[in-house]
Amino acid sequence: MNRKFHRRTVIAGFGLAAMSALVLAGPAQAEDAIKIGFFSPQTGFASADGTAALHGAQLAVQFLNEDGGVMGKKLALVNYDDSSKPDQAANVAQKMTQGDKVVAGVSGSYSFLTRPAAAIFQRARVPLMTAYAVHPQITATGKYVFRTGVPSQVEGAAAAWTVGKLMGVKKAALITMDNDAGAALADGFKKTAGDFGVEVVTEEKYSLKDKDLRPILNRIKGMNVDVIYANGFYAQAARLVNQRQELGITTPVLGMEGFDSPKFFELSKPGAAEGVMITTALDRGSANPVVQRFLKEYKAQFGLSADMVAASSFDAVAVLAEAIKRANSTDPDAIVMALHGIKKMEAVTTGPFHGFTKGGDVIKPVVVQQAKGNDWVHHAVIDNPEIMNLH
Amino acid sequence: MDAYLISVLTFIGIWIILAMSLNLLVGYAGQVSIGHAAFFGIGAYTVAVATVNLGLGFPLDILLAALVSGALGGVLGLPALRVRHDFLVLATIGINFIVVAVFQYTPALGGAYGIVGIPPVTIGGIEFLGLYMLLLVYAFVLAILALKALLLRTWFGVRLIAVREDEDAAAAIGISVASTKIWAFVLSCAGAGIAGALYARQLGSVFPENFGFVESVTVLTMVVLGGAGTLVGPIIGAIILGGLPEYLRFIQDWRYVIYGLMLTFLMIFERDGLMGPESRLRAWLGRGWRTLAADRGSGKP
Amino acid sequence: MIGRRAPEEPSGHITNAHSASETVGPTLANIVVTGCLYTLIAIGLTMVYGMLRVLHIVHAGVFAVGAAVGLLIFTTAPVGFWPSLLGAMLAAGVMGVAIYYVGYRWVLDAPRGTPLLVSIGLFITVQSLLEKEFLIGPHVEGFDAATGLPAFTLGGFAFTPIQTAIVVSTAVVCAAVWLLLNRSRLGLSWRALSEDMNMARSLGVPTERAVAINMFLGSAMAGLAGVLVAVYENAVSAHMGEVVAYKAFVVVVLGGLGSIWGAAVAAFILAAFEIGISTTFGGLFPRDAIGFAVLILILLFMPTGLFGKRLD
Repeated sequence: MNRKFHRRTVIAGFGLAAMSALVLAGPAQAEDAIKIGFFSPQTGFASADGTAALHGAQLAVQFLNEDGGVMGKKLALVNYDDSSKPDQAANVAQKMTQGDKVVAGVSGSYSFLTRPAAAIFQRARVPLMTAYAVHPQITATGKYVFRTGVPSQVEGAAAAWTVGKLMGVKKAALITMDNDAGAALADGFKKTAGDFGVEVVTEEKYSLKDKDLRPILNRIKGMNVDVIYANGFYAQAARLVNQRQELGITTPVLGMEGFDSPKFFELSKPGAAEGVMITTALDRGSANPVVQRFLKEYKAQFGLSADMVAASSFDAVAVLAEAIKRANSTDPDAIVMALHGIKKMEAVTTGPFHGFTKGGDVIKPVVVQQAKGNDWVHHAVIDNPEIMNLH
Repeated sequence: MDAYLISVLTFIGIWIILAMSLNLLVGYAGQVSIGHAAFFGIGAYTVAVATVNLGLGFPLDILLAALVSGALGGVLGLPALRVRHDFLVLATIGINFIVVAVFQYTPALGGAYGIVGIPPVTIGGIEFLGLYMLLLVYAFVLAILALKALLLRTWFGVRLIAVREDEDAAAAIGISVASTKIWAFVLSCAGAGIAGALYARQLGSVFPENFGFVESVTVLTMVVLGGAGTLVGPIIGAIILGGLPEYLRFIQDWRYVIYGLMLTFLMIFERDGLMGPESRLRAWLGRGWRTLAADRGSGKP
Repeated sequence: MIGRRAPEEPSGHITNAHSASETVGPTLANIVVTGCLYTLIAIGLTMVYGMLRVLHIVHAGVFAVGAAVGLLIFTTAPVGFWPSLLGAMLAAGVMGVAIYYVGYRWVLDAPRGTPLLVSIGLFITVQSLLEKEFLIGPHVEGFDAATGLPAFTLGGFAFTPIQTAIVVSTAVVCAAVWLLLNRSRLGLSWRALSEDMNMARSLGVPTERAVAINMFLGSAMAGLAGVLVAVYENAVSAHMGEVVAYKAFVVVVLGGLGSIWGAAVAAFILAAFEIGISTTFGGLFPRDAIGFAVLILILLFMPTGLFGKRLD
């Protein structure tokens, strides 16, 4: 027993010592640069999106610095991981605004992490640009909080328009993830469906953890709908089309920007993704040189094609830098004013950009794309003002 | 004081309250629960509804949170009267999932949108942010610690420990096992409700995602790592596990690898928890303390 | 009233009745396949639990590692599905043995919470390591492997090749475990160890070896389940064990901790309730919450699970 006790101590002691050895060396900070704070979940269950967002933001900083920087200075990204924990998001928001004194912040995080951080940025009067957290109340935090991702009510309405006007069909079944993003998209769809002659036959919710969508699909199979409007990220999207194929369902699927990733095709079984339509903001076929440079460099540096999350974060940094340039100042109120002053532009972002609403939400067109031969193909652009300006 | 440090310490204070409340159930009453985040969440949601929808202020909102969490804790603790051991552990996990699902699917609680715009605590026109909130949280820590120490000296404390050690023997000497267990659930969940209330006030928003299984595991880990059934154990556990992710930030995305390994090896090293009865750390600290006390004693003329 | 007949369908609803019968087959097949997967995951856990009485959370980590190793072999070596599966089981088994020798062995006689925390610590470590780019990475990876088995239809149940593989594997595993437990010396020593480890040890049962073999086989089954789930869903991710971490326990507990047949029956009951309720009522409530509600209800009437003995 005593010997065993001793060996236990040795094992534990060895383990602990090895760990303290690892706990060394810190990162170096670039001085005299314009600091942009950044946070996203880079560990934990959301690390896929968090990492993509980080890469997008890093690429934007790299491009801006290669092109001469901002106000004669380099940009520096001050990056933190929130690990999908709201308290950590709040902690790092304090660190960025009070400790690092960043000029502005970018959120590459989900809504439940972005909202607590946004409150801190607002109180500290530091502008925060949200990349893809779609909760309607985020920009309502205050005048320093903006968003570059298409608001869900707009994207949901664009989807309803796509179903009613573009596809010209009537009966839709909704498959909605049970988080705020899913709810917001579905609400946007349901609110405007009547205007475009679309009837919502059923709404089925699912959890992101749920691998098995077959019960939902089986229900929808018996309902004779014309289209399935589904939302989710690429993993759920691939699961949906795979299981749809397995169950022999031929009803067309309309998805959303969460589908917009090369991973969607990689995870889809042969033929399962063909014909799926999505509403998104990134137009891969665009002639815009920024888009092509972004897609090419992203693939080269990170070994994976860029997705919507990466593009949104790229845009968030790019728009902030543009505002700092135009204001020629790092004063928060000057930046906010410059942000509101931006009207039409696509010189620095991955898509056309029509400025911000008073509330800080982006006004930009929604692109409809279709899956053809394992790639997204441009299908239509929705830029009618009554949809784009739904805020 | 650095705003980041204040924020970190404030959350650690909230974890301390949460861990202390769970310790009453796990450490003293012997009812292991991996569902405590549910009651943390109920407290947070109560404050969210009380402040945003009903316009209640401090301290009524926190009182209400403690009451609601405690009452629901008593009701949801009822299975513990029939179900024991690992079966109870699973039942508590189940309660956690069901409570989070209720948050997520009830439109009156905001559903998936959660509830945002919870104002900070305001007393006499002063908004309790930063340092003020930190002091308020630690005032609650001290008050709850004192209450817990007192409670354990009462007859109820004796009943708790008797039930933990041997339910049948406790019943044989005339202790009502059922009422002891239910009261342990009520008090423990009320404590979690207070922690949740402070958490909601500190963050300004609540979402169903904040109160899941993983959070319950974390709290239990704080209690056991520190030393279940000791007064200081959960405090030490909450400080270590609440502080470690922040302390390890400089190793970036390796921090949770290290966090997991440290947890494993610390538990192998100190099997009763860092402050447990057989803890070597405690013995070592105790020796230091006695030496110190002796020095102080001998220093006097 | 015995043999009550369903009320006659009004003639106008023929199409509905037709479409309903069209979905019953796939729904039943889904219940069978899900039940098999739950069984596979839970049997390994029951073996470990039955002997060590540890809330073995890191079983879910072994499950994910199995899938990762399977994918690694499948994509780097031209060996096909079945050898990759075997390799994954081997790796998972070795990992199980390592978990015992590095972790549980030192804390088995400690308070109940201690091995649980060791397990949680290891699970966090494994998941965080799998998130690293040199293992799975943060993204979900595809695992589209052909099993070579046929698709078949049996009385309204239509099974795809991978579903066939799942059903066949479950049957083989169940039979093997039954034989091992009841027809081998090893099974005898396991049963002795599960009853009372100290007593068995003093009677000369080779404890360490028996526990190590138990950990190996139980974990190999987690690896098997990991690969099958990965191919079935065409997805491998660092966090694929997150649901397994608690779902497997629901099955093990429902079956009455430590009862292998109980776990198998519980797996199918759980699958039937979850899928049945979500097919009938739609997404009114999340699936996990449904599963847990069923668990709590059953526990209220049967506090030691469906087939459990009292544990004291």
